[in-house]
Amino acid sequence: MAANIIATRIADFLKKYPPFTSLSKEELYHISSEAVVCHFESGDYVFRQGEAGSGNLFVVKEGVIHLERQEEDALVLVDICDEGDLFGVRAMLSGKPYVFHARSAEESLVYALPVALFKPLIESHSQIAMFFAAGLAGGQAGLLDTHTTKRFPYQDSGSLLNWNRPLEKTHGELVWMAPDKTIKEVATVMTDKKIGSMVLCYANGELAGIVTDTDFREKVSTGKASIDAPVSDIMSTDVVTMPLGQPLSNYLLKMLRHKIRHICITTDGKPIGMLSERDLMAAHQNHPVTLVYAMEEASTLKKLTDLRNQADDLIRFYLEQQVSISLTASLATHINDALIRRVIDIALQEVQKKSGAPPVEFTWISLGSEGRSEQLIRTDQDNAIIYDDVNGSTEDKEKVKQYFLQLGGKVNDMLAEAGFEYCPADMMAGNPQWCQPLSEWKQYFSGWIRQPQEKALMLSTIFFDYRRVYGSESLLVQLKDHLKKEIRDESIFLNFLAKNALKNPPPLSFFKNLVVERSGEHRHEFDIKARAMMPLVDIARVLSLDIGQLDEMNTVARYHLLAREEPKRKELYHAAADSYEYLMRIRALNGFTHHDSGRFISIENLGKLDRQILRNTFEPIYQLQQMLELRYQLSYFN
Amino acid sequence: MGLLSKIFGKTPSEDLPPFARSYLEACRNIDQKVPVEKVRFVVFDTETTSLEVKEARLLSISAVSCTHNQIEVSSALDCYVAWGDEVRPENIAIHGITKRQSDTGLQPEEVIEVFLDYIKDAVLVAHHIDFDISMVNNVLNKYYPGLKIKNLLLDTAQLAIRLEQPRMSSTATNPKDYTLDALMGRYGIDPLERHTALGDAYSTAELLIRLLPKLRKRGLKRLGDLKNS
Repeated sequence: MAANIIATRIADFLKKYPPFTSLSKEELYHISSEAVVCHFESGDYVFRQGEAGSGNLFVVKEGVIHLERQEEDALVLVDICDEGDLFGVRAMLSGKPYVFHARSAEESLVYALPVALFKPLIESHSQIAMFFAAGLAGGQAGLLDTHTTKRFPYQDSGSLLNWNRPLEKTHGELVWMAPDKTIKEVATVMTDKKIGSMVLCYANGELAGIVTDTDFREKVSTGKASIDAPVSDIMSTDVVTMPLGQPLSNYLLKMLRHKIRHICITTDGKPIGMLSERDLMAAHQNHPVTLVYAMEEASTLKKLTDLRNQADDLIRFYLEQQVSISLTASLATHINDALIRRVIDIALQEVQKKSGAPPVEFTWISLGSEGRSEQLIRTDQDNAIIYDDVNGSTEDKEKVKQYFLQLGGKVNDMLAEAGFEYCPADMMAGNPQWCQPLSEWKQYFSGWIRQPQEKALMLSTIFFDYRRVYGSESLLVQLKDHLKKEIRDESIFLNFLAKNALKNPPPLSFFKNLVVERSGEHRHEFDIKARAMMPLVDIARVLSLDIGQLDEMNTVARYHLLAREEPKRKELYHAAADSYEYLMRIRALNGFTHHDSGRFISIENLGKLDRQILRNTFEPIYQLQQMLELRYQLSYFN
Repeated sequence: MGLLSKIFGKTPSEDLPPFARSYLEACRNIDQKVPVEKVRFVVFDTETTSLEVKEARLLSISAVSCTHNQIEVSSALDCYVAWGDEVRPENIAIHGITKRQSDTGLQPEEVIEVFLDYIKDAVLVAHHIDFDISMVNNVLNKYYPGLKIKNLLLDTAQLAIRLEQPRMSSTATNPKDYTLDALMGRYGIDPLERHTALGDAYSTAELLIRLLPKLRKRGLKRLGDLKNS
């Protein structure tokens, strides 16, 4: 039989519009052949706010669909979708109810595409993942729209996206009965076992049929069948069966197509279990809280590493699902912190066996991006130990130092094994230089501030973004107070730091093209970290130190606090925060795709739209850089 | 004449195959009170060697299944009849069906089984349905004497005429205004692939889901109302 020409035509239509542009002809045809063509009169609802997700994504073929959010007293138009626009994405990815109405503003034709087909594509196509991550489908919050004050917070995720995984087993054992049992007998067992359906098998194990609650309701309570009649009178014989081992998405698709919630799983024609829609969803459940608890319980490094690998899937899912990046980053931080704490516990137990309890109080701090709670993917470790000052002989002091060095080294090794690579510049707690008593740390900080040479500035940018992960809070408070005082006394330091913040290479050429690297391993790739993210991080740090804000190190939080402090630049700061969130997302997704830090982005693989958005994120950078020039009079400063 | 007509045949003999018996059983229990939103429509089209029912031979039959406002692409049915003997050359110009394609089709008995299993008790819809039904009935009668299509039937040409010119008798309208091409133009339906049975069936389905809401505005609520609209 020839290919279904209806599907071919739909594929022809879809391929003109992102994100379908990045799919192959076969993939497009596959999606299109499962499409449902829906017609809506003006005023009809495609879906309503609060309704459960329909299992479909929608593309406008003809007409106009308005996305509207019902607020307490008003209906707010969120987005207008016309030909080729995609909507219904949020509910598709989150499995949550729709967050707005989709209403036909004129007679419209809409293609409904099953989510189950889409999920595997999100995994295999970074373009598609990016499309959703960047919020490009209709009704996804405009990331770069500074007027969008409302965010749609998604507090937790429903399921993990791994729909390509094959089904390995069914949940629980199959409960079955013979078809010659009476309706009453079967109903009694179903009630006892609290099950909604019963599989009926012949003595040889072959499938005879199935009865469900609905059959009892429609055929027994209506009096059509007597409760003493054999159950075979009311069973349905066309049972939907599938073998084990298919990708999970296939089962979901089958359920969607047959509008059923259960599939009988068979081996060699014999039923071995039932798979329900709920099992399918549960197979993806992976709650962050459970993960953190499991980490706190984990007794071996191996177990911790496995859990951390699971967390990567979760974080990636959050990113793709358009969960707010702040939430995702805080989740990742939470998980990393739980792991680091557990690793320190384990290491401390080992050290204690040999050398006893810690001689003085200490604090384990994370630095750099981990310190700013911005690590979405595992990068190099940057950490240090601050311990309380020791009164006593040089020998005593040395003994204490050795104790913490031993601890630091062990933790560094274990973290490396768990996938956090060693810092190439050796900024780690196991390095004697970064395992110091409080007084020494105060001297470091003062030294960098009073003599801001290049090296000192570089160290400031890493060490001033510190955060306690384990141990004493009071040591940290003392260090913070010291830092605040030093900067107040030596405010010229901020001019140096501001100058340093403007050192990064520009992201756009004179002709507003993205500047790609000209040589080396990453030739023709865009360095998103150096050219776009670092400027935003560095500027936020300077401005925050300037107003004495040392409680929040996170870049997005820093900009939001700056906006509160300086309301007349509110819009710029909020835009900077949004840009930074977007860049974090892009970098993390790129990193997940290429199993690296995600720092270098291949521009050729970015769609036109993504390039456009990337360019837009630079606008606040330019404005901030100009502001810094003026405020710190950097043109007079050399 | 109503838009739907039920064609009554002789009482089916008991020696009909099971698929035919269960088809007839399904059609016997059609509930006229079912709301239109719950009704399953099967929109179909046939390709034949001639436009004269008496001499025409069925070449292929294609269908899509839909509800009042949705067409399921995956439901598309497209089957060719393998007659086993010569195919008249004159149809090739219109339909582009070659002998080879026809050879790879299903045996007529198989086509009947597939089609009846597919349509079940759905409302059958086609553009100028009388012709297509006659073609199908001819084949049914040839292989299973006495077996006829029992579904409720809906003709999109008649439907359009009733909607656009409610007061005029169908004889007073210009048939040229109600060809599938003309209606597609008028209702803004993109031509898919004309003169293939599946292409026409789909276009007719698109026409149907555009016409039905207009009918609902005139009070169409239940399946039975279709007869009187």
